[in-house]
Amino acid sequence: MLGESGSGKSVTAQTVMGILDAPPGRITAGSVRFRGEELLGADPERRRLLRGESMAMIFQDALSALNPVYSVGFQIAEQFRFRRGMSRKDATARAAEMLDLVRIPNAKQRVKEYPHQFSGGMRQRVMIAMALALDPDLLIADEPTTALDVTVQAQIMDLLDEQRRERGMGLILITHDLGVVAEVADRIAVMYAGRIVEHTNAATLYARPAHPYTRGLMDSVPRVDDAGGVRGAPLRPVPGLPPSLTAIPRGCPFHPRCAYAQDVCVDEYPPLREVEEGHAHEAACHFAERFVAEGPDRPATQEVVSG
Amino acid sequence: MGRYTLRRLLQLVPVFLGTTFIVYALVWGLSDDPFAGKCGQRECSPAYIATMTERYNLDDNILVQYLKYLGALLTGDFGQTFSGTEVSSLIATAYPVTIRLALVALLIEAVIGILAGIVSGVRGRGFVDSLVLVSTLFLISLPVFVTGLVLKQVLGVELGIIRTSVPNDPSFGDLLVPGFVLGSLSMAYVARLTRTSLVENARADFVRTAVAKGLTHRRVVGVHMLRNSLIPVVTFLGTDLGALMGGAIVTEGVFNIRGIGGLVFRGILQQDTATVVGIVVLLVIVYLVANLVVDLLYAVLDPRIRYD
Repeated sequence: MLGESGSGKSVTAQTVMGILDAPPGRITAGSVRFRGEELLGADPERRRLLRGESMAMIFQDALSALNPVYSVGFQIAEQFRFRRGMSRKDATARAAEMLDLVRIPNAKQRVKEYPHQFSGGMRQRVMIAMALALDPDLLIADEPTTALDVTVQAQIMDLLDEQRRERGMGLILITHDLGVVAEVADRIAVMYAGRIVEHTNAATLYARPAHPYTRGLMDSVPRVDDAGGVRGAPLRPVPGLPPSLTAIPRGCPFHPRCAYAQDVCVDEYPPLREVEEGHAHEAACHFAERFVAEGPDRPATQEVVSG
Repeated sequence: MGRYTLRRLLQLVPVFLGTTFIVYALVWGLSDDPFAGKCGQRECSPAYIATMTERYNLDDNILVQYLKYLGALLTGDFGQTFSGTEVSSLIATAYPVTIRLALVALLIEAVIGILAGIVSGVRGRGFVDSLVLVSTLFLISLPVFVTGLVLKQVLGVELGIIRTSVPNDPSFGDLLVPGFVLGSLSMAYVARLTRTSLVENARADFVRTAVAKGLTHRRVVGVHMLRNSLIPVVTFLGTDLGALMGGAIVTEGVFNIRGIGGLVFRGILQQDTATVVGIVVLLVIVYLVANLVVDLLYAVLDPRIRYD
């Protein structure tokens, strides 16, 4: 799941998990299905039992997401004790195994330590160990590497990818980092102003982005092999700011920032629709077919603006 | 932890010396002539003045006087009142009563205050929350002597449930109502502090994590929210013990409890330095020790504060 800050990625994930703060959060419509089971409106106790067991979540800032006053072992063991009915001793031993699994060195010792005694990367590993404790079918990772430096980011992503493959677990990765997505994702959903604006497999998305916002995101990434060939060319951000979710623009929510906007974009909201037969490629843009046809030879967004 | 404790104990020494010296100097400094009014209408006899000057080292300068007092204190000698009673025996009868009263007050304040805070903090807006907010505001607005006199009148005189005058060696049961009166103000603060702290923590990221782990609501609140929320409450309770003992004077007056409140009050009126300083010295010690205990408890409650 890809998108700028404030595009609704985390709120979506929290809705799926059933941990949305309500109030102020409110679910007015829509559907969340897990293995065919409708979760919205399901019994709260049923949803609680799904959490941890079937779906788990890791958060962006592991320091604030871990309870500062309990040891990491306690926080991992808690799930074994209260969801599996293990004794405190057995649960702590299992917690140490989990730490070992996410490759925290000296796990037997460190299980007694507190979150503040771990480095950023190690803390995120603790988070992952905690999320994987009950062997969930689905892991939602909400910007798991945003707070980490680049080398540690790669390690954490490798760890997530490895665990996903070994466990046959689904992974929903929430990020604004296009590089990270390209490496691990099978399918990508791009979100803008609280809605999915493009949804397809990774290869199609990078080859033939159908939404100008997706294009803008891709253009905003600095590239070593810059297609324009100009060294030292300025970065090309998507112009403007994402709209406040309390005042989403009329028509297509992206139109104030869109270089290709026409009158129809101001008036009519483009629903998410199939734009490319056979590729399961959905986009919410009036002119999606045109952008798909342009494919990789598309002009950069900025060239359109200045031209 | 051991080294930290030792260091904190050493820090108590200058605080102890400073506070006791100030009290000593202030009490003697209340009037120029320590013998004014001591012997009824008449002038004090030269023999009496000589004896007293000798007993309290009045010829020395104030610092030397204080050091001599302190020296005696360290050997357990609290000195004598002007009338010749041993201050230590006065303290020995009065202190346990006040300590008992303060502990009852602290207990009531902690148990009721924290429970009320939890109930209103967890339930969120609603009847219980409003009830707690209004009743605590009510308690905060009332001076202690009003609460005391009203309860004494209603429960003691009108309904006859409690004795209006607490006996010399009171049991915990006898001190229940006075303890409630003494602790009522702080109880209201504790309730509000607990409530605010819980409400703040309810939005914390780690609480969301606990929910995402699929823990029961009871465990999320009782384990993950409560411990973090109680840290400021514990600080308040610890420092409050000293305040309760010092503040017991009014409550003791209302319920005729023979504690240190009355003793220190009479001591000040009669300018009985030895009594006043002796009691205050002990109060300072209680206060310092309570603070030390709070600091050590802090490390237990919050591992981020490690004292090594």
